[in-house]
Amino acid sequence: MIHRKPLIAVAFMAPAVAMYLAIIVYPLAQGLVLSGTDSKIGNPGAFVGVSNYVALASDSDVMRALGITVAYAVVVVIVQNAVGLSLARALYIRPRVRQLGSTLILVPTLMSAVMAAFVWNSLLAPDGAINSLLESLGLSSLAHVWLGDPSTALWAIALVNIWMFSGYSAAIFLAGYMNMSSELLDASSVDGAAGWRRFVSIEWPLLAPATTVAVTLSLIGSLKVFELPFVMTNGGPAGSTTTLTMLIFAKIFGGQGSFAYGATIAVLLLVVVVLFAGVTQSLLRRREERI
Amino acid sequence: MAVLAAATLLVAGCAPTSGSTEDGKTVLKVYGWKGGDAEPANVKEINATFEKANPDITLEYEFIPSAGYPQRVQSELLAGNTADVLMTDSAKVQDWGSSGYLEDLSSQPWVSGVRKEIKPFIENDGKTYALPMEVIGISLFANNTLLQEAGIEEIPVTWPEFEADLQKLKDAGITPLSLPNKGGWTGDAVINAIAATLVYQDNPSFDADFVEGKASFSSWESSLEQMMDLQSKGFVDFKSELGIDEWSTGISDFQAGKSAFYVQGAWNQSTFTAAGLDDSFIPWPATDQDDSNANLFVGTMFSVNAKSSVKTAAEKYVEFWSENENASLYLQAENAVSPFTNGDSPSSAATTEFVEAVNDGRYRILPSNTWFSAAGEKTLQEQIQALWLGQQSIDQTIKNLDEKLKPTK
Repeated sequence: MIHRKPLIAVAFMAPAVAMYLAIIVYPLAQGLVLSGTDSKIGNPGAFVGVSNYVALASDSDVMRALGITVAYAVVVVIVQNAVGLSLARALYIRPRVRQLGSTLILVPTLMSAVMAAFVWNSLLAPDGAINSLLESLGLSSLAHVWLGDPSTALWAIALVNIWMFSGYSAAIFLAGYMNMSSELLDASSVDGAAGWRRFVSIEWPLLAPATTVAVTLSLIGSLKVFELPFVMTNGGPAGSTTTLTMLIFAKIFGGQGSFAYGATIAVLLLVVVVLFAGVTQSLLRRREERI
Repeated sequence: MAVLAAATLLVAGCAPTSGSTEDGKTVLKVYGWKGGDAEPANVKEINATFEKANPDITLEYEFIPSAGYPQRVQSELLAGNTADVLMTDSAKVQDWGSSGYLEDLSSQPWVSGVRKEIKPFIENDGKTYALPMEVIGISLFANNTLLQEAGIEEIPVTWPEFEADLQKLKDAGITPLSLPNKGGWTGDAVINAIAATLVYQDNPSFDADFVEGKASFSSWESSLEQMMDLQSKGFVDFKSELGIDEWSTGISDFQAGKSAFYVQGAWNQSTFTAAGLDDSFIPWPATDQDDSNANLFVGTMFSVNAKSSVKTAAEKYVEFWSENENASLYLQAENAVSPFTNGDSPSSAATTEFVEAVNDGRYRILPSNTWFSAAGEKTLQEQIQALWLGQQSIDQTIKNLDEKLKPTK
């Protein structure tokens, strides 16, 4: 019986492993192989070694897109999780509205990103609702061509991302709050910890596991952002919102059919995502262990 | 990558089964990005006539919006199962033709009738891969009603007249010109419409020369200056225009009479006419004389899928579109010019000036098969947007265009 157990385990794992190999590992390996060729649409191409990667390093468009993607992700991760955490705490300390509130904050998350992009496109238009509101409040000097100005376009898109997914982060933090020991919180209250003090010394450390999950997911999601800049700005103006995913799309589907080069940029994105997510998760896990 | 592969598999699974028969009929599948509700282009009428003339063929025409067309069809091409006849354009002829996806149509009877200057757009390595359906204008629309309100009796035909009209409109409190350019398309349309005259009248071989490394965008300097004059003289605010979408808000705003002049494609004329707009479609008046060139674009084409199991029917369908009476219906709806030497180029009251310029031989065709391919157009769009934003000078723009559009071997 003892000897049969590993075989049974393998038998149970085999379908999942096979699926994983077929759906994840195989396309990934194919992508890596593709990035080592000069393949274009319909043409498997010849092996060209690392020349695509060499070209990548000196491609100013790729380097610009990399910078834009990272800047976007940093802002989104920080603001989205800060807003999510604030919402979660507000709901936690108000049990009467918690159930309704936790449903409402998830509504934007349930929207299609393309639909959200269209809605915000009209809100952010030069004669859209946001500028009209500013004008009606006597703040017409603040009215702006939000999506047509390189200094605001990326952040306007980030705002939509934050609007969409802050509720998602809040749900994760709220779950963290609900798992906190009520005895511990009560004891901290007896000891006089309240408000900001209680948040910093008790709640924030206890939210470490939730923080790891929320930050990691928002980081991966924002590094892979595509629909929002695609619909809202098409990467413009003057390339100021062209992210790595948009560049991959342009190389493959933008009339060039440069599969190999598109795959090379996709590998770069994969490395960036793994690197950032890995380092972030490692730091946050260590923090969890310390607490 | 995983998503791309999964999408390809998914599309392969859902791909059409062309060539099968129903009641002994040949089923012919056709994909196109014309013929939707927004731009019917008489496609339904022409297809109905084809089916009537070919009772043994059942036509299944599928409209696919242009924004998603390359993704859908490219994935199906990779999966090896797409429609029998594909709507294409010069960029797709280059990409898909060289990849062996398109049938060589060089021996088709209509090939000899194609205008000489159109042939490079439908050919790849000396083989013809597409039937050209139209040569279409991208230029200036004028709202005649607003012009009359400002006391302008005739549409401008010279640059000084155009400038004077823009000033009159501005003085009358009418928005003189709108160039919505959020996606970058209008910017490249404007500079090409100007350069059609200021560059190509003196140097009609600029495109070929540039590709061979014998020409520079420095010859576009006066065109770029003319475009920038529009802002410096207060006729348009480029920065505001960068926040307006050219394909939705831009078109509906002009249709609603929010500006007197506007740059778009002639394919919108039918929509404007249907909406009751009194307008004119004219060459961009770029010089001091009434001799401006029309800016033309070799638009839609039809190609045959090299893997089609009903190639004879597919070729019959394509040939049907080359016949003057069928082609004319499409050209009429598109307000386009015939790509055939003996084809009719319909004109309406709105497009008379433009078609006259073409008939006089005053035109330039966008080099969508060379430096102005999809990637080149994107580069031009970004450069014009950067110029509009004041991020770079005209000199820097020229330098960047020379560098970034330089053909790579």
